[in-house]
Amino acid sequence: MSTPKVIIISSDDEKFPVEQKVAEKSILIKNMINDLNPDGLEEDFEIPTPNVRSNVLSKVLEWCEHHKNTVFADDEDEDVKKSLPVEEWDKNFLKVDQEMLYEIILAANYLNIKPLLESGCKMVAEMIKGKSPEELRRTFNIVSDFSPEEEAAIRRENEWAEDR
Amino acid sequence: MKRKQEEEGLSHKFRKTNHELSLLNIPDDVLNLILSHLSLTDVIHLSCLDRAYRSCFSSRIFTQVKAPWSKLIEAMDSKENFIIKHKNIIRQLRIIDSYSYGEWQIDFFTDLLINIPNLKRLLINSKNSSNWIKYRGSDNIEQLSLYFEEDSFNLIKFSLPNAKQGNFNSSPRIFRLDHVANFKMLTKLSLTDYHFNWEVESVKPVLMIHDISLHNCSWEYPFKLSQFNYNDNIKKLKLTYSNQNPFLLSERFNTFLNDDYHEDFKSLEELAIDITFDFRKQAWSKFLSNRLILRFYNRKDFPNLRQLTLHGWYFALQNFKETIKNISCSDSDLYLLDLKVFDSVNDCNLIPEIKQEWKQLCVWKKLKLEVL
Repeated sequence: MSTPKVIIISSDDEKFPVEQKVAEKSILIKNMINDLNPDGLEEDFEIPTPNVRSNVLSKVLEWCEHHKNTVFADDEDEDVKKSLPVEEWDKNFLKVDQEMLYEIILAANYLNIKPLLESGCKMVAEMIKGKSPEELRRTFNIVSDFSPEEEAAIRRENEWAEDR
Repeated sequence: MKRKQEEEGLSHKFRKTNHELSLLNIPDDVLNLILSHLSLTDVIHLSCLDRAYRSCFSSRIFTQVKAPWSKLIEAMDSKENFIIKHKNIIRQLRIIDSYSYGEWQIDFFTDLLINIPNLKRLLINSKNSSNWIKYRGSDNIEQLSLYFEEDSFNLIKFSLPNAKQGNFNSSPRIFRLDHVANFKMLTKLSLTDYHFNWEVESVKPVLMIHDISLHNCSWEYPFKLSQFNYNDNIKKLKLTYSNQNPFLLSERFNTFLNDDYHEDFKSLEELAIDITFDFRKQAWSKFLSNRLILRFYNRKDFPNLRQLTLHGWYFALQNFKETIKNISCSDSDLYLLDLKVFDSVNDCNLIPEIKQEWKQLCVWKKLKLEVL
C-alpha cells in the first residue's frame, strides 16, 4: 500500500496531492490532520482551502516541498530573526509580481506558515526601505492626487512625526 | 495569468478602482509585520503617496510626535493646531530641544498636554537638573524620559529668546525622585546623564514606578541605587554606560555590584547592566567575575529575579564552566542569563562546550552567550 497523501483543494476546486510532511509545513493543516486523525493517516485526506486560488496554492506548495526538510528554529530571539536577511532561495522564489507576492503572503498567513510569511513580509519591506515618496509611487504604480496646497500642508504636518 | 494580462491593459487611473491587493487592503496584522521591518521615516514616506495612503497611514505616523519648544508655544497660543487635530491618536511626544526659560516659565502640561487624552509617553531634552519638573505634573503620562542632546540645542539656540548662548554648563545634572512626584501614573522612568545624591529619608513620593532605565548616570556617597526602590516596586532595572565613563571604576558602582547587605532589590525581576563601546576613544574595561554572576543567583537577595543581562563586559570564559555547576545547584528562579562578553583568550571551541555543559546541568534555565 502506498503512503496516504494529503489532498489540498484550492478555492477554484483544483486538487493538489502532496506528502503529509509537505502539507504539515502549514500549521493549520498539521493541526487539522492531527485533530481529525488521532491514530495517524490511514487513507488520503482532503482539505479544502477556500481562501486560496490554485495558482497561489501551487506556489505555496512549491515552497513547502523545497523546505520539507528544513528545520526552522522556533525559539530563536525575535530580534535576531528580524535582522536576518531573506534566504537566497526564498528571495528568488518570491521574485513574482506584487499581486502574487501579496497573495502568497495572505495564503501563508491563513495557512499559518510562519517562515514563508516572514520571508514574504521582508520582501515587501525591501521594496519600501529607504525610498523617497516619488520612488515609492513608481514602485506601487501610484499617481499622486494631492493639490499643491495639500502637498505643502502634508510637509508641515510631517515635521511633527517622530522619525527615530 | 489571464487576469494579469487584463490588468496590464488598464490605465493607471482605472487600476486603482479595481480590487487589486495593496498595502491598503491587507489585514492589519500582516501590515504590522511588514512595517516592523521598516524605519519610521519609511512609514512617513508611505503616508505621502496619495490621499488613500495618507488616510491609511497618518494615524500610524502621528502616534509618536516630536516638536521643538517654539512649536509647542505656538500650539498653546492657537485654537486650531496640529495637536488639537490629532489629540486622540497621539501617544508619545518628544521635545527635541532644551530651553531653560521654557522649563521654568511655560507650563505646557496644564495648557497643552491636558488636551491630549491618550498621551502616555513623554521624552524631554533638557540640559538642566530636574528641579523644574517638580512644578509640573500630569495624570496621564506613564512613561517619562529625561535626556540631553547638545546638537539640537546648538541648532535652536539662536531662534528662541532668552536661550543662553554658548557656555554649556558642565556641572552634574541632579535628579531627585520627588521631582516627578506629581506624575501619579508614572510606571516607567528613563534618565540619561543624571547624578543622584538625595538623602535616604527625605524622598518618598507616592509613585508606582516599576521600570527604571539609567544611562550614564552616577551617584555619590552615601546614596545607594536601591533608594529608587524605597517602596519595593521596581521590577525592571537597566543600567547602561559608555565605556569611557569613569563612574564604572568608582567605589559607588562597585559597592552597588558587590555589596550583598546594603542594597535592597528584592522586588527586581529583570536586571541589565550593559556597557556600550566606542573603540575610537580611550576606554575602561569592566571585568565580570564569576562571583558577581553567582551573586544574582542568590535567592535571599534576589528572590524574584528572572532575567539577567550583562553585555559588553570582559569575561574569562574558561573559568565559567566551574560556575555553571554552582548555578545548577542554586535554587534561584533566575531563568535567563544573557551574556555578550569580550573573552581575553578567545577560544572559539569553548562556546559550544559551555553551551553543552549548560544544557546538561541547567535543564530548566536558559543561557544566551555571545562573544564580541
